[in-house]
Amino acid sequence: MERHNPEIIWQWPTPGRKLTWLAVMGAVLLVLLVLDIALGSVRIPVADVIRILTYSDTGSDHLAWIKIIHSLRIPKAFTAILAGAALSVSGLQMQTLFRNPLAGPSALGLTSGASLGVAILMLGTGSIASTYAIRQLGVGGSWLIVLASFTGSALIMMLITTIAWRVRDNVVLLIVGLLVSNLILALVSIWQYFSEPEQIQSFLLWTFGSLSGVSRQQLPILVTVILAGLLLSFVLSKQLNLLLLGEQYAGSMGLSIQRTKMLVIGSTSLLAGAVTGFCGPIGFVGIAVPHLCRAWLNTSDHRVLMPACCLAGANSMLACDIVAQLPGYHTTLPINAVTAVLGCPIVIAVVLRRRNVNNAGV
Amino acid sequence: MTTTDTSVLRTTALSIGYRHNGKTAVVCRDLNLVLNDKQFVCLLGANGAGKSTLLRTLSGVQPALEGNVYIQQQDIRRITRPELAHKISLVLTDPVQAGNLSVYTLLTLGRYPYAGWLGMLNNKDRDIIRQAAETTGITAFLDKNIHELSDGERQKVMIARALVQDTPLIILDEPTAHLDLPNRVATVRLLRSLVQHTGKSVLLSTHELDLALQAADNVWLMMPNQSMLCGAPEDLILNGTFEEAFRREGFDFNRATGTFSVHKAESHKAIDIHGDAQEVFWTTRALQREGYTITGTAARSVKAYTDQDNKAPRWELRHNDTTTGFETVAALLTHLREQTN
Repeated sequence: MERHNPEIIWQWPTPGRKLTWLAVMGAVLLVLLVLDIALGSVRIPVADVIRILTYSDTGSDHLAWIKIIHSLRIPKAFTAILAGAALSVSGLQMQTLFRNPLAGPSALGLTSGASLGVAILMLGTGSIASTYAIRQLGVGGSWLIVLASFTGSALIMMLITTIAWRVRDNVVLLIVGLLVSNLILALVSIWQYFSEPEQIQSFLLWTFGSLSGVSRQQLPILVTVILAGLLLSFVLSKQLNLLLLGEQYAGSMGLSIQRTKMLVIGSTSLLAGAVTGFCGPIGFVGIAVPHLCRAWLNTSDHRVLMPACCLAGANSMLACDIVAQLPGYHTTLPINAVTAVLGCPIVIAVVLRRRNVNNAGV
Repeated sequence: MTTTDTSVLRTTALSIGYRHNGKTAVVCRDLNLVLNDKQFVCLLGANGAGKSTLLRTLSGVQPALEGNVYIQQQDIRRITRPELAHKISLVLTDPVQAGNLSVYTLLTLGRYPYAGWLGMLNNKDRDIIRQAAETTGITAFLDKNIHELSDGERQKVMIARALVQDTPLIILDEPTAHLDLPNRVATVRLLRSLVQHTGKSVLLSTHELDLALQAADNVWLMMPNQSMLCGAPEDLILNGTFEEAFRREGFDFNRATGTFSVHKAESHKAIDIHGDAQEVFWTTRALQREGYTITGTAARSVKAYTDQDNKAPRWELRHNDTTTGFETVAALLTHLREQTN
């Protein structure tokens, strides 16, 4: 006869607090979205923004506002949401895969890989020489950019995975990622040296990073690619959870390491590549947001972290975009400068808190 | 007459090692090992003897050079990885490094081989997790994150995770290497009771002889000459197998105590000892450390005893009809050193 009743002493951990945080982040997302749409070179009152967004204002008074919101602000805001979510989720996956707290799409050279792809496309092809030319190609050209940047990212990701497999040292991996990244950027600059001024100009504009480069017509492409990447990532949540214990434990539980790696490479390259292709290189979001989510929610469970990173990443990008608008009516700050200013302190804090990057897992 | 094969693990003419660039490096050859149902087997061997290689081969991580490995009478090469995850679970030496990973979440990962793609748990999964946590005594820190635990607690959690995986065989690769003595004893005691109460088999590798001798039903001793000695630990001690095996390596294995003698006896130092059991035991150790051989025919003799008047240990050294008294072992040893120099 059992002496104790297990039902009484046993309490299953409840996901209550974590769900509350996710709901809060969702609410913040809505607020930031409206703010981001309201702010800009033309400031539109929040009340009007909400009315226009909900299609309850069809009056002719605000035709200019309606046009601005629908053709400029909405694409930009949704690009910010997609970019933030995509970079954060790809950073999360990379940190788990490499068991390295400082891994991220920019730190390990994925964004430079994408840059190389885009550079080959923009500088290398004589006939469709510039972004404008590619824009002229419309939807087909956008797919071309996605394809080029995805291929670039995937190649780098495979290279880094191979190196990670041979070298177990976290710091060495980061240094190699940094060097590969620099090497590629150097190749691109050498190439620029021999290119036509117009080509260089459009490429340079691209490297500053911008959320407003995505037009209303291109948005569906970005949405499709990012959603595909996010879906794949969500499906991989459980496998990534196993990888937290290391490859040996994961393998002993029947996980096919090789296949999981390939899928993670695919989804991270898709996410980081597409965002970089459309918006230019954006740093630090991919490293910083996963750490914030883990610390806030006190969990490593990817089934919680995936949605959390999506929401927190989207929020961060919207916040960064709002900050980028702050200087005034005529100029906006380059988005990757803003993410760096806001993201760097977080990354520094992570490094200092761990003291020894090698010693700690994710 | 036929007997049914109750082996959880069996190898026939197994050779293990590595193939690299067409060259073969054999670590161990011609192994015919049997691990039966509800057995606790310790795999012993010096560092670098190939314990890990054997465990990797037995758990299907690396292929055998020659011969076969059978898990529950099934050739391991015919078992897919997901199927194998239902038969063998692992506990490794190095602690898992992951921030913000709660013990509870870690345990749920053990159900991966059984769960659907979302990893949802049903009531049976929960029951198994609860049982594993209660058996291993980790219910108190289920909500904690694993980096907040001590090494001993963390290893208990990893054993609980292996239990959650619910396999007939648990393989542990030096699970006690990073633990202090109390935690080592606790871990082995836990594994021992698992074998007794849950009917699982345990294969544990270690280089700690005394631990293995006390806990194991069977010992597999890996020798440097690529062979393996198998048997119940007491048999291996009593029939002199251990003594012989270690003497070849230059170690002095003491059949009476099941330990190695660290100290080499010096030929001119002989002493007789008698008295109360406890005092004699510890004084003997001190004298052996000094290089003395204990013999009944020595010129010097020590009486070690508990003094009835003040309930404290005392020593009397008798040499050439003079008797000297001592109140500590240290004083006795100092005196002996002065005498012999």
